Amino acid sequence: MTNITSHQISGKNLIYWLVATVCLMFSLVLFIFIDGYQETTAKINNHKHDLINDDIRASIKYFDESMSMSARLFAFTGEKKWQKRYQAHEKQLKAVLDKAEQQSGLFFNNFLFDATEFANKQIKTTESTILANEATSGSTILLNEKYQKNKQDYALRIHYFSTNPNDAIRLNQLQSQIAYIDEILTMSARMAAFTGDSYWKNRYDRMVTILDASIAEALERTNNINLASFLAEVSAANDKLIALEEQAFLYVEQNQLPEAVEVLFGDEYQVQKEVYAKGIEKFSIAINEEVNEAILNAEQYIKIKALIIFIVLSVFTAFIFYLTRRIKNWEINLENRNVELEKKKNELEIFSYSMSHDLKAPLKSIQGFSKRIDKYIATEKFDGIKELNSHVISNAVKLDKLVDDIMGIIKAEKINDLVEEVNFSLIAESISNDISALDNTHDVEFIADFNHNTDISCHKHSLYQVLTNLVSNAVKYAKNDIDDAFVKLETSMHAHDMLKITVSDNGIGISEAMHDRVFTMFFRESSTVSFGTGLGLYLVKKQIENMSGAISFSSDKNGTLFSILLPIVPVVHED
Amino acid sequence: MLTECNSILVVDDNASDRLLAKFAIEDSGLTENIYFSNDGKEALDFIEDYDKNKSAYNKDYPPTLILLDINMPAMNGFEFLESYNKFNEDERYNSVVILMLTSSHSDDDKQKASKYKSVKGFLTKPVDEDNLRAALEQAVATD
Repeated sequence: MTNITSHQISGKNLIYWLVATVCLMFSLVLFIFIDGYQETTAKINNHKHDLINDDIRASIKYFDESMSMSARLFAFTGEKKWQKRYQAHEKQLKAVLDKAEQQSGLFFNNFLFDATEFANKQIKTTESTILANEATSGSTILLNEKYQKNKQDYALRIHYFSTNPNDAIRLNQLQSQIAYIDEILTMSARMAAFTGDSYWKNRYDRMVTILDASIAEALERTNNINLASFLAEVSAANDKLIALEEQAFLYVEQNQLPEAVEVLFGDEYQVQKEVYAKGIEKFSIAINEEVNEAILNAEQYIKIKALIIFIVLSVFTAFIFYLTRRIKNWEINLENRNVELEKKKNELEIFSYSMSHDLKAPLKSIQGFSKRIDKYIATEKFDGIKELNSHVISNAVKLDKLVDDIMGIIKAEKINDLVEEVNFSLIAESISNDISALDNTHDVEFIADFNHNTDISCHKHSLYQVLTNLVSNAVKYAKNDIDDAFVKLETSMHAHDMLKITVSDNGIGISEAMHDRVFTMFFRESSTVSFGTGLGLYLVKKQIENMSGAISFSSDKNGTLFSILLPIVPVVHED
Repeated sequence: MLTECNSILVVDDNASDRLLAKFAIEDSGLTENIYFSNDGKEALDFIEDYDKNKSAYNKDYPPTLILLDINMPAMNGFEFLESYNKFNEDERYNSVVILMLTSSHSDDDKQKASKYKSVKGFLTKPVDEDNLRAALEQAVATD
C-alpha cells in the first residue's frame, strides 16, 4: 500500500518560502530606497548649503573689496561719502559673517570660518586705523606690504570656502565674481585717477581679463534665455564702462588726473554702472530661482519615486497574498482529493477482496455438485442427481444476480440515467408487481402514501431501483409469525426544497451490532434468512449519493425505517 | 493421520457448501456425527451448549474437527476465532483442529488465520473427500 499523502507537495512550505522572500525583498527595496533617499536629500541639502555658502563667500569678498577701496578713496579725497560707504558696508559684512557663522557651525568645519574671520579682522584693524587718522596720511598704510599680504591671505581662504561643479551653483559664483571684479575695476580706475600710480593700471588690466573670462564662461554655461539676456545687458554695460575707464587711463597717462576723475565720476559712467548693477541683480535673482526650482524638482522627484516604490511594493504584496491564498486553496483541494482517493482505494480493496470470496463461492459450489453428479452417474445412483442439480441451478442463479448487482454498482459509479419527472403512483404500482413475484414471500401488505405537493424530477431509474431494493428487503425480512406484516412507502416535503421518502416495516429489524455495517458491501443481516448478494444496500447508498441525497435508517426488533432526503429539482415542462 | 473423529462441526452460511461438506465427510468415513452452524454466532452457541450439556452428546464430545467458513453474515470466521480463544484455556479443546474453508487463495486470510493456534490449515472449496483428507494430513504433520 503506497502512502499518497507522503508524496504530496507541501503548500505550507511553499508559503513560508514566499513570505521569507517577500520579507527579504521588502527589506532590500526599503534599504535601497532609504539609501537613495538619503543620498538625494544630502545632495539637495548640499546644493542649498553650497548656494548659501557661495553667496556668503561672494558677499564677504565684495564687501571686503568695496571697504578697502572706500577706505583708500577716503584716504585720498577725504570725502565723507567714502567713509559712509565704508561704514555701511562694514555693517553688511558683519551681518554676512553672522550668517556664515551659523552655516559653518551647522555644516562645516569651523576652520574655514575662523580663517576668514581672522583675515577679515586683520584687514579691518588696518583700515580702521586709517579711517580714524588723517585721511592723507592713511594712504601709505593702506598700500603697504603688510596690508597687501593680509588681503591676499584673506582672498585665498575665501576661495576655499566653497567650490562646486554644479552648473547653477557655478553660475551663481560667476555672477558674484562679475559683480566683484566690476567693483575692483571701477575702484582701481578711480584710484588710478586720483594717484596716477601705474599699480592700479596693472591691477585693472589683470582683472579685466578675469572679468571677460567670467562673463564668457557664464554665457557658455547659461542654457536659459532670460539668464542669457541679463548677461548680455551686463556685458554691453561692461563694454561701455571699460571704454570709459580706458579713456580715464589715457588721461592718467597724459597726467591729466582731474579729467580722468571727471570721466570716472561723470553721469555717463554712473548710468552704465547702474545698468550693470541692475543686470547683475536680475541675473542673480534668476539664477537663484533656477537653483531653487532645481531643488524643488529634486524634492518632487524623491516624492514621486517614493510613491512609485510604495505602489509597486503594495501591488507585489497583494499579489503574494493572492498567490498564498491560491496555494492554500490548491493544497486543501489536493488534500480533499487525496482523502477521496484514499477512500475510493479502500473501497476498491474491499470490493476486490469480497469479490474473490463471494463471486467464487457459487462457482465453487457448482463445481462441487457437478463432480458429485459425475460420481453418481458413474455409480448409477440416478435418484440423488435431481437434488444435486437443483443446487447447481440455485448457485448459477445466485452468480447471475451477483454479476448483475456488480454491474449496477459500476454503472452507479459512472454516468446516471436521465433526470425525468417522477410519477410515484406508477413506481408504487411497479414495485407492488415486483414483490408479488418474489419467491417465498410471506403475506406482507404494501402501503403507498404520497404527501409531497410538487412535481419531482430526478434520476428516475435509480430512484425506482432504490425503492424496489428497500421494499423487497422489507418483504424478505418480514416476521413469519405475525398476521399484519406490512411495508410502507411514504413521501413528504422537508424544509421546502427537499423530498423525504421513507420505507418502513414491522419486520425482524437489524440487530444493533450490525448497524454500522448496513451500507457496506456484502452485508447480510442473517445467515438463516439469507437471500441476496449483500450488495443491495451498498448500491442503494451509492445511488442516493449520486443524486446528491442522503440515506439513514433506524431499526429495532419492532421493525426498520429507512429515510431518504433528496434535493428537489424543478420540473422543466416542454411547452 | 486423523482417521476417526468424535464429531465434526461445519460452520458455513451457504446451504450448498454445507451439503458438499457433508458428502465429503461421509465419503471419508471420519465420523457420522456431523453438526452444522449457519454462521459464527450459531457455532459459538453450539459449542457453549455442547459444553454445558455434554451428557447429551457424551460419546462424540468434543468435536475433533471444525470446518470454518470465512465470509458469513452475523459473525464471520475470524470473529468466531476471536471468541473461540476462550475455549483454548480448557485442555479438552487442545486437540480440536480447525480448518478454514475458503473459495479463494487469499494471503491476507492465511496471515490473519495463522494467529490462531487452533487453525491447522486451509481447505479450498468445493470440499470433497480428497482435499479434506489432504488437509487433515497436512494439519497433523504441522502439529
